[in-house]
Amino acid sequence: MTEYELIKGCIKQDAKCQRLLFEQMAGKMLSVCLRYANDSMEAEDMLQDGLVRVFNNIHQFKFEGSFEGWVRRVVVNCALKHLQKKRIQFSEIKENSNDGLRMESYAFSNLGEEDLMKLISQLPDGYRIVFNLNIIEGYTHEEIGQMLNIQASTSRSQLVKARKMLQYQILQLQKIAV
Amino acid sequence: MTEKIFDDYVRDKLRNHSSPIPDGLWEKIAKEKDRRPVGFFWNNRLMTGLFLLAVVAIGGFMLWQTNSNTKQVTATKETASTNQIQTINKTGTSTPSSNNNSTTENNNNTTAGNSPTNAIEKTATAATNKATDNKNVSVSESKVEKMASAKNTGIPVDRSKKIVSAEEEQQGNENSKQWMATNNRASSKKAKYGTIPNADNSIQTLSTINRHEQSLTEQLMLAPKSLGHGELMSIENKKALGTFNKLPNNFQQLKLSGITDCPSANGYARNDLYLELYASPDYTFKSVMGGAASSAYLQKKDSTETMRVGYTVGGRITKNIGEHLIVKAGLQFSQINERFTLRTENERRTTTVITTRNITDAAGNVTTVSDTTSFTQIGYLVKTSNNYYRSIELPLMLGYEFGNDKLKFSLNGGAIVNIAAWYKGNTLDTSYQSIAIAKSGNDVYKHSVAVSLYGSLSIIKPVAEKFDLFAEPYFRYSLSNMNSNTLGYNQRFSTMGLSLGIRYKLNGKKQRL
Repeated sequence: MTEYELIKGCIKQDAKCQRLLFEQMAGKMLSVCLRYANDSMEAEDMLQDGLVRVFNNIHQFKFEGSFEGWVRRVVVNCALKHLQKKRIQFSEIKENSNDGLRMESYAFSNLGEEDLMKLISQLPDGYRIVFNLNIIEGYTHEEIGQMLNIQASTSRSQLVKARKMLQYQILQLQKIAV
Repeated sequence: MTEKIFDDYVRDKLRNHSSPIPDGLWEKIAKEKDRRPVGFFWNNRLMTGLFLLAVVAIGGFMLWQTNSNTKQVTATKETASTNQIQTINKTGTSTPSSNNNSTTENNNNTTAGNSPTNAIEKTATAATNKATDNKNVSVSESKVEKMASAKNTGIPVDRSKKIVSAEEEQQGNENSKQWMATNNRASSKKAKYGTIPNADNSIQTLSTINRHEQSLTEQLMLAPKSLGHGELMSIENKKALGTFNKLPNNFQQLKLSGITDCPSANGYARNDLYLELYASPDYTFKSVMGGAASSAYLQKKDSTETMRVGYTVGGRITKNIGEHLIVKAGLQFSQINERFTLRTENERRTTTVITTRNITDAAGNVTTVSDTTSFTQIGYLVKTSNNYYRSIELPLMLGYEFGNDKLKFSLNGGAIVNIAAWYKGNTLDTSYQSIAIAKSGNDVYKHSVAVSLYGSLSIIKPVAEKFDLFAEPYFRYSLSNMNSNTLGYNQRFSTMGLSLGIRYKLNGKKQRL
């Protein structure tokens, strides 16, 4: 079954097509949710809401651009909505004087996806959301500012600090490994 | 290493990363997606309240507007229950008292007072009830003239519907024309000065009515049974309307000309003014939503507080605007009660026991011995207090009242504006300790809790000329939080209650004929 047929089937509320779509998308989207959520339970809730919204609004997909991109966008929006309920504070966190941090590529070349996921999940909420939206989803700082109702400059500074903190954590992990 | 390399690395690793799906997730999603989507209004309680308020207000206004048509029926009820000559006189004399602003209307009124055809029109319009709209009613005299002249200039009419002979109809037309010509001159003069047509003129005019018109008028006047107040149309009246539709065309057209309201003793609008005194047992629902506060704290707080029955007492003035629409405003006091119970574990209680004994030896000397023992109990402590939340409020409401003299109902909606609020009792702070809520100067709760939405249904039972008893189940929803923002959670109360009260008519006049 092609993607087009699958989407058409979902628009017609065909349970088989919906199940197929779920099987194709759920893993990736759960990974997206896990990057935004604080724990796996919250990620499941986000995914559930996101996919229900996808199934209920799939007729709005215009077959322009990537379908997975559309689904991802819906799921990310749902995740942000969940997080907005918690009133995330984009506070400045004092760093451990790692301004001049330099990290070589070998430091993270052996890092697996699960390790990265774990490290990202340990970032403070504000850092984590901006990092995910900008680096992984590809939103600009202006878009992130609009989505999160913050200044674009706040988004930039959060990203810089998120990146530094992540690199610092990777280095710490390396030290432990050594 | 540049940041770009690091960013690209993370993106490549995580962009297409997939996690194992937990069991049962599809079942949950399938169940959720099949649920009927709940509308926006039901998700948003504020919008629901505003929507209901708007519906009540608009509905009330529309019904009030349509009330003018009902009055026409009331007017004709009187007409139909008396004999023909009296009817015409009564309608004729009552007309000018109601319409004296418009020259066109006065023309109509003058005509109505003197014209036998207008007597028929009125009866006919009564039979058509609400189907006769205001546009038809306000047709001016010139239209009547036109219709009369059209008959006489040979404009074809529908002969199939006539129930009298052509000769009689011709005679009727001639008489109508003659009568119109006479009265138009007179009415135009009178209309200019807005004079009231006299009864003599009406009786004189009646003497010229031909038999055809009389028989038709009688037929229409006597056929409909009296309409009750607010009643739309009985079967008999519908039959009468059917008979009317079979009338010759000129009579059918004449029904378009002016009809007037029959005024009540105190004018057109109902003018009741009431004082309502009421008291209500209240049941309150507390809604606590977490802001910055942890869910564990909110859960603990919820377990320490139990809502108890509260009460509201108050008074308000109720004023009619129109036949059914009412406005209410007043002052009320309400108290919400809550039981606070906090159980703290590992509480220690030390008890000291002093035992005194007298020991008498062989020589008879008495020695007093005191033993001091202390023991510590470890257990739990339950602290209980009764909290109250008191407020003085200003209810502002709009209602729609309907019913009969035995039982009335009123649908009410509006807002309750909080003027002052104060509190006393205990609550749980974020360190899970009990803290006292002071009456004033405390930052736990606000001292003015803004506005609540209110909706109710009053059931009113008249018990004496000036007294009514009423029961009013109601629900009120607070639009804003009652606690200050510093606490990390949002708490608000919604109240359901049953107001029981007495309603005293202040103006005391008989309101209608």
